[in-house]
Amino acid sequence: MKKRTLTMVEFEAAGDILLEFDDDGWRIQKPRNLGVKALAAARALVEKAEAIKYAPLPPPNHDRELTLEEKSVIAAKVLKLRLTRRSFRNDG
Amino acid sequence: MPHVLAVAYGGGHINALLPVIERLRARPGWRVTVLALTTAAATGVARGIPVVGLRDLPVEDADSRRHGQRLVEGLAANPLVPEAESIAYLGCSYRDLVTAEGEAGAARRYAAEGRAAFLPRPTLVRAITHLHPDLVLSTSAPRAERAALEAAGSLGVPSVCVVDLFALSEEAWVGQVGFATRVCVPMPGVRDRLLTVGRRPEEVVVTGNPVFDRLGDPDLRLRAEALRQARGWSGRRVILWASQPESQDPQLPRRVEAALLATLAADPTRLLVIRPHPNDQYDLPPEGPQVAHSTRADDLAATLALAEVVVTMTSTVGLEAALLGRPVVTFDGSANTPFAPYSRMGISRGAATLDDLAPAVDDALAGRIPAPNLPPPGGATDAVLRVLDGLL
Repeated sequence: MKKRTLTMVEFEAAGDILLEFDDDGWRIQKPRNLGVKALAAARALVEKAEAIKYAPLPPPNHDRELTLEEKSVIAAKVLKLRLTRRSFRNDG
Repeated sequence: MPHVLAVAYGGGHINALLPVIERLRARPGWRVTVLALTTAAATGVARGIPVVGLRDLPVEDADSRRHGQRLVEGLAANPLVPEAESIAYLGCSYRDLVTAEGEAGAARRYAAEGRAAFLPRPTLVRAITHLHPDLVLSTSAPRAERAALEAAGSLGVPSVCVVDLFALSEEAWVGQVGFATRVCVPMPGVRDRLLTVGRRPEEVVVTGNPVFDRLGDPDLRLRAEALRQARGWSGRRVILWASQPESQDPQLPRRVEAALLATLAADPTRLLVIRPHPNDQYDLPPEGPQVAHSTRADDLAATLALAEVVVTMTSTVGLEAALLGRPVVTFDGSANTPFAPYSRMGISRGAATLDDLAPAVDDALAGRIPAPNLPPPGGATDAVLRVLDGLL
């Protein structure tokens, strides 16, 4: 079976806002397509998303960093986002 | 009313942006906010430019203040940076490290890397969200400047990154697609390298470095000639040696200097002008018929313009000389050569060993070192402004 790694997660928020999240952080998708109000809302969401403190995993995994998948699930819950798409890299 | 947020540290970083900032401030109806980090605030204020620090923005909280207070205790006070700003800068940066790595991870990384572990993206996201700029202008420096440009990208704010020199260590982020909408570089070789690692051609513009625009002063030749006359150097073939300290081998600059002194016997008209770096404190060889000293009181640009050849290891003076069309010889045995690879970039004739210095100097004096392919100095500020205007 081919192994693959999650590289990016896309979320949708109210007001047709699309955000993406990868190892480099959060990003508003197509900001030019958003109106002033929606853009301000999207920026406020990115601000909150960037500041999320992910609690460490319970022992014995407490030294392991959370995966992108695990962080996405937490972020979606905290920010009330709908996870709409995942992108993967094939590792062969 | 366009609003530009400029973010810079001190030293070469703020200096690269200041000419652009001053021109933007002079435009009627334009608003420029300068987020001056660490010593950049003093530089900006000295030029009459109002600046803000992180302590002026709603980016601190109880956690950042706690971390900042702790970290500032271990620092020697810097008269150029108010303690409140150090607390804000260190505290916010450390808080963001904790957010990314957890308490234990942050402590481990800070112990191992110090400030190099910082990338305060969440802080800069907050700052940009609060300030609502139409464009973010910064440099290729790590930490907060990198974070500012990454944050601008996250928030959909157009951004311009000004690369002041070679962007070698910075290539890891400046070379990433999406890091700054446009990257302004000082020379074609840097652009070529960034395209090789994946940047798109339309994203990287050869503008020059605005700090070197002063080298394009049309009166520079006159100033150089006046300096030559004043110093009694008429008819002399000036070899300018711009020394600098070498922390891993403090005697290395002295050995380079000795090799240059040995080249003087070949021609009594040769004159070695020694210009030590301010941090390179040593007993200079005494002035004499073939040796002269140049200090910071001397006009550097004029001194470079009058030199027949400029010799350095890795000083920025080498790039300034090349921009003025002067032949440059570099001694490439410095530990810092990989970070300022003048000869590899085609800017200098490199001397790999001390024995290679004399033939390189001879070639330079004989006109056998071709001029490097660099944009003539004087138009960088205008070029960066054109890039900004294209995004607004």
